[in-house]
Amino acid sequence: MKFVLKIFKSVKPNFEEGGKFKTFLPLYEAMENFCFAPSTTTQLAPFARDPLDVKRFMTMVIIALVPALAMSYYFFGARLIAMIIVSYAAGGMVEVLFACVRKEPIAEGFLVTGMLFPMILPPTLPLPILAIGVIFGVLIGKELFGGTGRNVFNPAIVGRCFLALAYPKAMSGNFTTAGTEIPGRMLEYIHAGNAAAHDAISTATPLVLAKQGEMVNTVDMLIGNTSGSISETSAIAIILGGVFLLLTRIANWRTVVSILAAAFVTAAVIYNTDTTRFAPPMWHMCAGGLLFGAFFMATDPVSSPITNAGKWIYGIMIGVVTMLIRNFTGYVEGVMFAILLGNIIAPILDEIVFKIRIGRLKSEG
Amino acid sequence: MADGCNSCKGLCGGKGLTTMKEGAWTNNPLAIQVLGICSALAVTNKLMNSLVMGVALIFVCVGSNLLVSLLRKHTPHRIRMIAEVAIIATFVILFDQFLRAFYWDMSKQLGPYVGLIITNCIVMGRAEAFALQNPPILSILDGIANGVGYAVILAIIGFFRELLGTGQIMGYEVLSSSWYTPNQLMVLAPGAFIALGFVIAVFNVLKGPDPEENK
Amino acid sequence: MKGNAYTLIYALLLGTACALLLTAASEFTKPYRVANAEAEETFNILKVLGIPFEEGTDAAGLLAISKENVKEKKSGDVTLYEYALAGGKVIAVALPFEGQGLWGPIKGFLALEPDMRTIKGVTFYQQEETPGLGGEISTESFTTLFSGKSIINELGQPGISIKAGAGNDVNGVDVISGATMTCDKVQEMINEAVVKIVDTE
Repeated sequence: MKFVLKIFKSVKPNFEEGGKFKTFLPLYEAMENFCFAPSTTTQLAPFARDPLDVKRFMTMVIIALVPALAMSYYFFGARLIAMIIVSYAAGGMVEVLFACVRKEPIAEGFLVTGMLFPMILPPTLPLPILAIGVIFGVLIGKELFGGTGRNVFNPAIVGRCFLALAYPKAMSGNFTTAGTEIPGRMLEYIHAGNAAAHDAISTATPLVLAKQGEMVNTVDMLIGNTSGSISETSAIAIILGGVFLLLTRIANWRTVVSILAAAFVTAAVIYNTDTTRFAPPMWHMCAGGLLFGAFFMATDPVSSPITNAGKWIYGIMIGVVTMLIRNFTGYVEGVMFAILLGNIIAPILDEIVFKIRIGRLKSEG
Repeated sequence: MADGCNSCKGLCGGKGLTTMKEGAWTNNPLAIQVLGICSALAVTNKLMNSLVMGVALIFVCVGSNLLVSLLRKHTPHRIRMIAEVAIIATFVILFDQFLRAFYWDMSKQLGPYVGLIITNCIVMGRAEAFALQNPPILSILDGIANGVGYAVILAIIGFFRELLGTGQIMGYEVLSSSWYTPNQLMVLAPGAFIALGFVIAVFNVLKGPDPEENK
Repeated sequence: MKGNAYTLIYALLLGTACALLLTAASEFTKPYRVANAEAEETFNILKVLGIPFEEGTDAAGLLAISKENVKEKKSGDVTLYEYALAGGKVIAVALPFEGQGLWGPIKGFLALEPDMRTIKGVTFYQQEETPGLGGEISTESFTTLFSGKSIINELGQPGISIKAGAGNDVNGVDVISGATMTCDKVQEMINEAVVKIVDTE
């Protein structure tokens, strides 16, 4: 370790004021911070009231993702690693570029986005498309709004939404079956299927099948033995990581509980209007990206409301909208759109809550 | 260009050049004032459509500016807006009929958006804000400048939307489909919003900071 | 200030001038517009029936070709377009269908061989499906899949099926992957039209 530290020290003058690579100072700092603890604490904490700094915050989220990642690796194989590498490389490039232009240190925020993004994509999505998605998400979803901590939308979801609209064929034709027998697909690297041809390995996700009247077993969906976006299939693994996030208070329980409860109630109401046409609520809870979205996406502290009352309303809206989209529109999955909608109204909710509180304080004198 | 500007100088006492520059560049109706974006978003999925729409707007803008300016001393003040709309509508319908009769396919692709030029803020705005106070020739120049300012931005958006959205330009394949996956979002209206956003951003960088904003 | 009478006369004059100009323009372009609208439908019928015509034939030309070859025929409440040679030999019959797609109305023609059982071709001339997914229904790679398929299944029931892996069935067409919903709707509206003609026989 000392050896590495020595290297860092020896090249540092090049990056300082007057050095050859002055412009790339942010890149140097990022490398240094990644390997060693930073000497200063970050000023841009996600919560004003939270004692955690951004870096520890991010590390916790990554740890919470481990169960889902492990299951994904088991079911979909080594391609996951390639996807994560491409995601970090392409998105990181945008981060570095903007940090250099703005002359600011590179924000750690991308550590989580870069990991989350491939996890919500179809397992055999072509890598160039993945790169375009993550670049769009970071550039338009985050950097143009001012960078980490200033984004209105969750960058990973912006990227996914862009891909879903821009490359619908690739995004709907690249779901493959999960490896069922031990050792799953752990030793495999599934090659990207050609979505244009009627590909043998591409299959429909449980939500698509449900629209055709074919129901996938809820137990399979609980374990994750179905097709779907890489890390959304295994409900158990997501809940495991999600509960960890709740216990460490990285994710706010109000958001998660309100989303899941609202989705469950809405699904139950819809189911009871016509039990032959709609899927039962428990099935909906495990299907698609609802759990992953509720635990890891909607709880993003930057793009969700700050106030507790705001969080409740935000969560309820996401849950209800998700179920409405799933059951009554041409789209099969609605979590992505629901969270984006939630992100839009989050600042408004906060403002309303603040106004009401201030009004109350005034009337109390 | 230089020739044209000299003659406008002679004709309009030096105002011609400023008028042209304002309309097409420093006060560009689309990129600076962000007017008339409804049509800009709707028809720009192909370069050809954008060009025809641009021509339509230049025609209407020049024609209505000229007539409004000619009649400006005779038009009673309280019905001036109705008179302007009547004149604009006449030119728009003329163009629409012409397209339907001789360019049926194009007319079908542009759909209602040619007719909707009647409500385009650019045309109405130029008639009300410029032609009503200025002599005919200067008004024509203003119409050309604003129309061209609109048409050029439309063409740029149309170029990129068609290129990225289909890999083609004017229907000819430019980016081979063997390696290029068309970006379907660019064909849809949200793609136009994104493209317009980028065009405005580039335009603002080229134009430099607005001196009035820094006051 | 100018008086009321002046305002009134001005408005009248301007209005009349505009109206006259537009009426003249409308009268002048009317024959062209009418021909274009007719040619539009004719074009689609000719195309689906496989009647040869040169690319870029103008409206009048299309109508002439259609008049020569295509006969309208009523079958129940369905209008059929029959392509017959001069001697009376029927080559193909086109049958219109329409219905609600995923996002908007879909309209098209289904052309049948003279046996009224085998599909010759299909066109969709109006649709607003998702570009790249459902929108692919109007591409040739999809429409050619229909050629040679039967409109009744092995059991003799009328109807085609557009499903994954149905490409080898006598009445089956492979679904466009990712566009299951649109394909379901298309199947529904084609079958609706098919049932009508099979029933009336």
